Amino acid sequence: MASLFALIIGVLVGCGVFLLLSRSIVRVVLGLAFIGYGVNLAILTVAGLDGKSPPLLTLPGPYVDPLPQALILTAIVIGFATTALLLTVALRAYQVAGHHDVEAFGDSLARDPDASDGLGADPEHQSPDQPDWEDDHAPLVPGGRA
Amino acid sequence: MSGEVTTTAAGVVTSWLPLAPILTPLGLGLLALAPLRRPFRVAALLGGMGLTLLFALLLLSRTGDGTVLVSALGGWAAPFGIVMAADRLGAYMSVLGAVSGLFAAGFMVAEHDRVRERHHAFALLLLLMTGVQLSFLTGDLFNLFVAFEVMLVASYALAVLGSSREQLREGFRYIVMNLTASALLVLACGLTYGVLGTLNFAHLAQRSAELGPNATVTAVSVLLLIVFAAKGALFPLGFWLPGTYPALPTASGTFFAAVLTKVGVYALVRVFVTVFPQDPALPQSLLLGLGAVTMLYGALGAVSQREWRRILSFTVVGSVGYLAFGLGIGTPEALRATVAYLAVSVLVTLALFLIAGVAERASGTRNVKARGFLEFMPLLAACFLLCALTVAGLPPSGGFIAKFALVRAGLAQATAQGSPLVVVAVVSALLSSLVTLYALLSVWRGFFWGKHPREEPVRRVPLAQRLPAYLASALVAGLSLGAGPLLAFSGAVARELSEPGRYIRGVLGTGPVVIPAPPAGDDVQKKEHK
Repeated sequence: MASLFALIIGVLVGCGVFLLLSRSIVRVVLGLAFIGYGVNLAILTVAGLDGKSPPLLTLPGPYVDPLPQALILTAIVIGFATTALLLTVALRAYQVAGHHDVEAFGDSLARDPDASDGLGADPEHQSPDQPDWEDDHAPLVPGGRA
Repeated sequence: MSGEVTTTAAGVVTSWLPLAPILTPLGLGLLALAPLRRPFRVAALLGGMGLTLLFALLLLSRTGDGTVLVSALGGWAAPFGIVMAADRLGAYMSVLGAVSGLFAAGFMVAEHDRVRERHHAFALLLLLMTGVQLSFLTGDLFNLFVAFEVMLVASYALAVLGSSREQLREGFRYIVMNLTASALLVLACGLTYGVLGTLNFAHLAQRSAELGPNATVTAVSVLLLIVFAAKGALFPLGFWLPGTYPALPTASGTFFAAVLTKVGVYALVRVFVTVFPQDPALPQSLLLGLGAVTMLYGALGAVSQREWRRILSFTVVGSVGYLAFGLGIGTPEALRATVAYLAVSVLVTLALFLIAGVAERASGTRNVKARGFLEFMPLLAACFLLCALTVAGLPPSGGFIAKFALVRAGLAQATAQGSPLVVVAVVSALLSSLVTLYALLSVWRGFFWGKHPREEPVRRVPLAQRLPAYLASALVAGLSLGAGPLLAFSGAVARELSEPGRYIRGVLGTGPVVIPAPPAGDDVQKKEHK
């Protein structure tokens, strides 16, 4: 049982690393998700795969250790939040640059909406690209709040 | 403010104080998310950082006699529940973090970046502070992971807030790097639990001491070393840092640079000195080797750059190298010097990044070749010179004293052991100090020296933006005047650290940990691990 799990974990993390090394942003996100699953399964395996111990106190013992499950649950929740955040950043990069490739992060491409290998930057969501400070007197967005 | 200290029958000193520096920025951070008018949000930010500093100082004074203050969440005593535990080291780091937070907040308010403020930069900075304080004060390995995530999620958001192209590029790299390291950290937590059956630092230390040197424990601890090396930007894992920090706005970049790498270093100290000190040979030689390379990489990188905060980011990398070097030597003297250098490094990074912020605004460019600013900003020049000497470790500064102590501890260890790695690391430390000095003097030559070209404008920087830099430099100056007390305090921290029994007794009490007779779940597990 444990060796089967070890194999599955190995395959999952291997796929994750492969995806992580690719050029597409979405694949990188998926790769991180795969690694997360592999790690969660590893915690489950480390905690002991008995298969017979019930998790409920109403059944006759011996009971399974609940702590690794709590760890996995926490890791899943945190992984969910960070994946959502990463996808938001990826979406923003796509909007700013018009690429879902890591080239979205190149400096020159986004200034070139006619690039043959990519879409133009989304005109509704362009990067403000403003300096991080400004004159106190000039409103940043015309008519914007001071 | 008595601190509500009570002592339980087992001798555990419980108090709400270790929770205060965590809950204060959390509460005020949530408040700052509310749609309030700017003065109220400013008050929440500055008040939150100020109160956090106050609580951290109170914590420092309470732990000054060697007590370990513990607060057990939900009333579950260690090792069954999650505890917050503040010993001298934790309180010291908590104060350093809070000081940096206050200065960064001051600059953020003075900077008055409307776009980012509208997108809750204040609240994010406070939440980042929550994560930092939680990492310094937690007494549980898995909770340390949670603390890292709280800290990193806030830092991801701050890193890409404003979404300029450079920020998105560097922010994405930063997020992916840290998520991968976090996955490894969860894995290491799971493996630790599998091997030792607990996650509480004190209980882990107790069990690993009972187990003695053990290859599996060493393997897990090296996995932890990789994780913390990635968070702390040690050499092969630190390539994200010099790109990410300059892309950030000054205020948040300052806080990142001053504190976030030090969280990784703190975790290294906690894990290798308090929790797994049994088999130090492998982790110490790894730290020595990585530290030696990191110092040189930081120094040479700093020479190669021409922009203010890129140069400074490389000096941050270098300072992590020095800390790893000190940890790698491993003697109590080296530990004392490392703890002292932590304060030097945090404060001088803080001051230098704030100075860089002012300089970039005054010259309107990030490049250091602006020339002739000595004429316009003599006080800033003085502050910069002081900080440059501190980073390089030259005599009148506090940096000299801490670095001297580090190198002396290294030399003592080299003569005692005759290990060539220590000698290499000492040589690398001295060499990279010299190279760092060259890099910072080239900033001096480029920015302050010479004659300012007439056609280039010199912008006025409001006093509110200059003040944090001056005050932080005053703290750096205070380091050289207060080096004696600082070293004495670091010595006390090092003594406490080299005696893990005190931390264990402080958290778990004097009696043995009695695991209540399990419903046999424990036996099943042991069978699996054999």
